[in-house]
Amino acid sequence: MKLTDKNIDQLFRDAAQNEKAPGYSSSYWNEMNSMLNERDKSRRIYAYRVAAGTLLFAFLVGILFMINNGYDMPNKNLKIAGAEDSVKSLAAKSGNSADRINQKSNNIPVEAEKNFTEFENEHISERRLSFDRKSGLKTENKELAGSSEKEYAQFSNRKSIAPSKTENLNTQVIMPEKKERILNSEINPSSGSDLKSSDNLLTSEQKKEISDLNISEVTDFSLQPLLLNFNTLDTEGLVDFKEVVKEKNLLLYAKFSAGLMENYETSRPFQSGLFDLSASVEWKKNQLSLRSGLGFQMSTNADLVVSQRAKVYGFGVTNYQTNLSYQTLYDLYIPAEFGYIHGTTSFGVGAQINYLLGTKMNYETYENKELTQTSTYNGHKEGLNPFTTQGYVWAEEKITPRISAGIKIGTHLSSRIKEGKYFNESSTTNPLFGQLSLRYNF
Amino acid sequence: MKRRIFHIILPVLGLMLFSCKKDELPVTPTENNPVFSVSGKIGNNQLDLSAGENDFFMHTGTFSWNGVRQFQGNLTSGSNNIEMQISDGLLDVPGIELDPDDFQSFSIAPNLPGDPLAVYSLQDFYYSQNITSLSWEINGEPYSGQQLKIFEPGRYQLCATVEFLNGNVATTCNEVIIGYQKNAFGVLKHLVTDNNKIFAFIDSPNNPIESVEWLVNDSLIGTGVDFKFTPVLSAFVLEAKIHYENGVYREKEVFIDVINNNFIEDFTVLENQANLFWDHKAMLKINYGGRSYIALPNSTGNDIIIDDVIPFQNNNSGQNVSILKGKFSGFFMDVLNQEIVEGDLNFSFGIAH
Repeated sequence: MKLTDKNIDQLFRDAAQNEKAPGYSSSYWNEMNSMLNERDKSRRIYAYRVAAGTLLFAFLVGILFMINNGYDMPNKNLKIAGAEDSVKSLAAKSGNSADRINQKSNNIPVEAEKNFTEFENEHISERRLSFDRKSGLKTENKELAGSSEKEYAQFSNRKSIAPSKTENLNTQVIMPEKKERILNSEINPSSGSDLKSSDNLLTSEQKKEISDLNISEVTDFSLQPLLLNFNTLDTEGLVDFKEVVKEKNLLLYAKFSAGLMENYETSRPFQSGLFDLSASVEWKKNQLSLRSGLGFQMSTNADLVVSQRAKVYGFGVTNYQTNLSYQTLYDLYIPAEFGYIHGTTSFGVGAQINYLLGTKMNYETYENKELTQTSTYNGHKEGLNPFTTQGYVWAEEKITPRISAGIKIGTHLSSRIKEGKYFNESSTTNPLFGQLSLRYNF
Repeated sequence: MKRRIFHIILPVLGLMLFSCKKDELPVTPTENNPVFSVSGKIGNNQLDLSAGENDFFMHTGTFSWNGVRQFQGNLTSGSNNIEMQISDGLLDVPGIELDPDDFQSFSIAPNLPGDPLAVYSLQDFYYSQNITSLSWEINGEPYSGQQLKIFEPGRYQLCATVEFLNGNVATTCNEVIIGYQKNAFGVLKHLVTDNNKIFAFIDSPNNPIESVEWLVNDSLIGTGVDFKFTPVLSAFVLEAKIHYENGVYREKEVFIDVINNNFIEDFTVLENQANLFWDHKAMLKINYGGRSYIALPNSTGNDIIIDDVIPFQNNNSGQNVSILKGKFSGFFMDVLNQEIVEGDLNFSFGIAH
């Protein structure tokens, strides 16, 4: 027989007709279930890896951040980056300055020069000690080591009046006769007074004279590099100790978060909504914070589908499938967040344990794949775990003292679906989510 | 402080809100094992068939076979099927419904014989000498020939149309029950007195009669086991509706022409010719693996043993279906080659009733 297209077609048709249609076997379901479970398992592993990676990344970034900004840490074990170097360079430069004074400033009297050198050495060393105290570095200076908290406050004040103090120094240098007087009478190192006391020793007349001075007069003065060095000291990152002392360790705040979540059924992002409202307490220690509280979470348009199948024999067999398509999920949750505060920014990681309060669910029944019943029910939790967990990374930026805006990205760590009587019909069990948040401090 | 309390109360209120009463979900059907199945052996064929597996479906229903209700179950898939059919019985007792629970066994129904179960012919009529022609209608359908032969059991409505010598034509109709037990035996007889009065009675020596309604040309004229009356018409159809004490109900009618002595007697007596009965007998047919088998009757112990009867659901026609659990060990005939093979089956079969 010649195999024409028609013959071949007929051959296939005959073969198809003679071939028995594949019968239903419950083992197919089992196989499919195990495949689905395997897929979920791999997804879960992937989610755990992502979460673990995120946590590790956040941790490393935090450590790096802390190391790089160590100067700002009042921790005794951490150095204040830059400050010591500044002091060192300052000291070095002061030596240079002294040389320059010797070389260039012949118009300065020797006694005044000597006094100034003593002043310079002593006060630079004093400043260093002061900075050391401020930074928490150990110092061998017995006098300063036992200083009171009041002195800290005065240092803070010094920070705020640093420019004027510089002016004072300028003034002292610009006016040789006044400089001599000031150095001799008010900032004489032998008097045992320190820089702060020199401020107090100025008479109002002197202060007025100082304030009337024009800063431009500094330009040709040989101490300019020294002064500039003082001026250029980075005080930006310094903590206002006064505020630190005043700042509360515990803070009550409310937070509202809204965002999007992967849809359970389709696994597509941006199809489901996630809304949180929480009241929490933040406990701050140095620049670390711990947060916890109580919140209410609502997942919308979730399409979390769990199913129940039953093969019911009778006159024939009917394959029933009941789909519980959870649309809205209401959770009560307790978050636990760990964060690092850097200025107005804070970031960290968090986890929360959810207790499922209720749901809104679409109920569908199929008989041999034909939809036979559909209705909506509230409050059911069939096929769902009452407790679930979420993990996330977060960052917040303080907008005002009371209001902060933030972002939160995370995933469900444990599946909502309780395998057993019902099985998973959703594409994902641990959806990713992202939220924007608004925080209000009480 | 108030705010803090508010923040504590809010979730609690929410919790209470969601703890409110909820509507119950519909009950999801529970998985089960096949309900209807047949397993065993017939000849060299091993059977293990279940409704719901391999496209087998348990069809159940009832149908009328020659006016007698048949209760059927048919486990079928394509050309393979196992069919069980149980005939109704107690046909002359109205209001009796088959209840499988009443049976511990069903005998296999007799095979249809080659000879007729009943024959109605002119010679059987007592006044046949006055009859020139006889024609029959069976269940409203004309039957050709003066001799009526009935080969299948059933309940038939027979009408005899007779032409007498004087040219008069008369018709009477009676229900005859062929191949089924009669639980009362009686014959409508009549006497015509000299003054043309009619004395009618039911000759039933063995079965007491409770009451009889007498009708002339479909009009009730009286009641009583015996009835005597003077007919208004010279020729008429006399009908008796007989209620026996044992619950049997029969209707019989005769034609009486008082003037011309033309009669059509009660021909229901001819229904008792057959001695084969199909009351509550079962037919068991198997088509499997390209072979057709039918269970053979009359063997000792060749009965379908019923161990249990479990009411099931209604079928699509709304009829009750019972699951008959039992077994059958006996002989089958291979229809194709008339070969007798042994069969041994366990079954859980559905029968509508």
